[in-house]
Amino acid sequence: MGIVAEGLGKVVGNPATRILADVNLGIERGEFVALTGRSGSGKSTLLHLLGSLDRPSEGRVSLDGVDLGGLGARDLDAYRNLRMGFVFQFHYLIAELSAFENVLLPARKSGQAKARRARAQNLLKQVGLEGKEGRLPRQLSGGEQQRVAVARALVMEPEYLFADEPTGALDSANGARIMEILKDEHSRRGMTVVLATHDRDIAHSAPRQVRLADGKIEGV
Amino acid sequence: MLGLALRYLLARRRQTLLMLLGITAGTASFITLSGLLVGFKDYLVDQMVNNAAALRIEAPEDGAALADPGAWSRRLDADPRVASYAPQLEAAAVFSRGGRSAASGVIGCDPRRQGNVTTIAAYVTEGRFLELSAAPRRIAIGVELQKKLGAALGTSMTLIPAGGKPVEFKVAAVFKTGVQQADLGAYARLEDIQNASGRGKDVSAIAVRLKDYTLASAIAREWSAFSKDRVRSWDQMNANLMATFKAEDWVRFLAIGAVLLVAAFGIYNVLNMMVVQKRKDIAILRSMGFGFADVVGLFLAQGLLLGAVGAGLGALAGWGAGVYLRTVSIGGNPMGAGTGKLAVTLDGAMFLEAAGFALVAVVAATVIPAMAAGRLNPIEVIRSGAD
Repeated sequence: MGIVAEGLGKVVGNPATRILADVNLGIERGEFVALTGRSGSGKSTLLHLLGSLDRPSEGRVSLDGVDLGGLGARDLDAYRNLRMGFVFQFHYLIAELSAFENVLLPARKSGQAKARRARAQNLLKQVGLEGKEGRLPRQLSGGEQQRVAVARALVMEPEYLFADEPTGALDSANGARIMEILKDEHSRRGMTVVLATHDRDIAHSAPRQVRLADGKIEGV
Repeated sequence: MLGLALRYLLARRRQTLLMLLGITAGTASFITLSGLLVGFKDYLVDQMVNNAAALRIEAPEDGAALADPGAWSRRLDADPRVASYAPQLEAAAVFSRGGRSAASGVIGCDPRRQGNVTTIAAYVTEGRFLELSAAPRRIAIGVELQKKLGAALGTSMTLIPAGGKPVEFKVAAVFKTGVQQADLGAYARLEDIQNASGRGKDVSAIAVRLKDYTLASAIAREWSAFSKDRVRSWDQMNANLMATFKAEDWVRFLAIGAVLLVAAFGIYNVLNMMVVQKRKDIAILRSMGFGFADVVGLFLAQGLLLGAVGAGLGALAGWGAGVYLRTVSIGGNPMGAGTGKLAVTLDGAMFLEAAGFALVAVVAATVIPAMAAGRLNPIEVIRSGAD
């Protein structure tokens, strides 16, 4: 069933500023979709609304038929922990934890830390960080830090991955590597990927693109 | 979250150490100050209960005799709460020896019974208290009276009870309680004082020792109900001092409250700063599914860790300070409990109180920053790094 957004709108601030208006969008399970548009077009806001990180001012988002707006905070937390993964432009790694501990963090929430250790180890190997598991974020390069963040987003084997400019702060080589990892996980597990990017090359690598401008969908 | 809380604290060693020092100092001060004040109080209560007995049955008018001491004896013998009792005749007297004289009081008693009711025998520094029974007209004098009269052990002195005749007594014992008023007095056999003061078989008071001295007030009220005689408990006899103890408790709690308040403000400031510094961590934790309670728990756990370690170290430091203070010599004044050392009480309740205070202060200081962290909207933080 996937994700369905109906009449989605978002107004923020005082005085009120509309940053998203009447967005209707359906994303099938297993799809790889790129949300594109210029800076300020509303693509990140849309991604946050689809991933339940933010609440819409108007309209609704449903995930596999369940209206996310109707879920309580605990249920939403459980959804984000067990079914969704997030990657942001900045890695947001916890400075006091090693790469391995950062990757394993989502599993701690659901009491699966022990069960997910092997998966965390494999993911770090997959993203090219074998042997660097014990390093703190400050002991890793920018590209390595972002790869740890990707591994963290994947450790719970989410059905949906939301990536907001995941390569935005990286050079092209590191950016390509991140995309390879996401595509690989998408093709192997059928994970749904929703990616917000203003990078044309990255956007073109997605089978489907949704273009936004001034808070509205301009083309699909 | 406990592991992460610990990592946060360890990553900020200097701040953590300062916060810990505050709690440790507060807890240690509480225990040390409490130990001293409660030690002093315990010493004085011991003096009140054991030097003058837990209960006193006295004639309704000062200086008069009990109407029926025999009836009291039968009642006291039958009451299982009574450990022992000693009839007494108290008399004002002038003591003289070799041109020196002093006015004070003398207590006529049965030395064996008196020894069972009060601790006077334990304060004897020369001779033996029970020597009073060995022969007629023996006297035990306080050390202050001894100084005034210059009367050594074994020497004779003259006692003139109010309304009585001069009688020569031999000094059989010298005692030192540490309380000047008590050490100006003297003890002799009941019969000797009755004879010297010409009061026949009069008994002016009965000193009673109870198995549980804390029941003294209740028993005093109970016995007063069926007798015209005055029955007073040790705390009623020292009501002013008991009120002082209550004030002392307030001083103790306020002083420690101030120390812990300062420590709590320190923790509040540091954790508040940490919440601001850790906005990104909080945002990413929320995006991973960690909820409000998890984030609040992360910061509360830091407070609890600080509180538990600080209180533990403080308890240890307070115990160490208390043990050391017990060795400090202060020259045998009233706080010296007759040993010349400071009286310091260190009991379990005091440690629990101190730890409880420290934990409450720390948790109170942590709650506001922790709630602020829990309420943080992750999207605001994440948006600051995206469009």
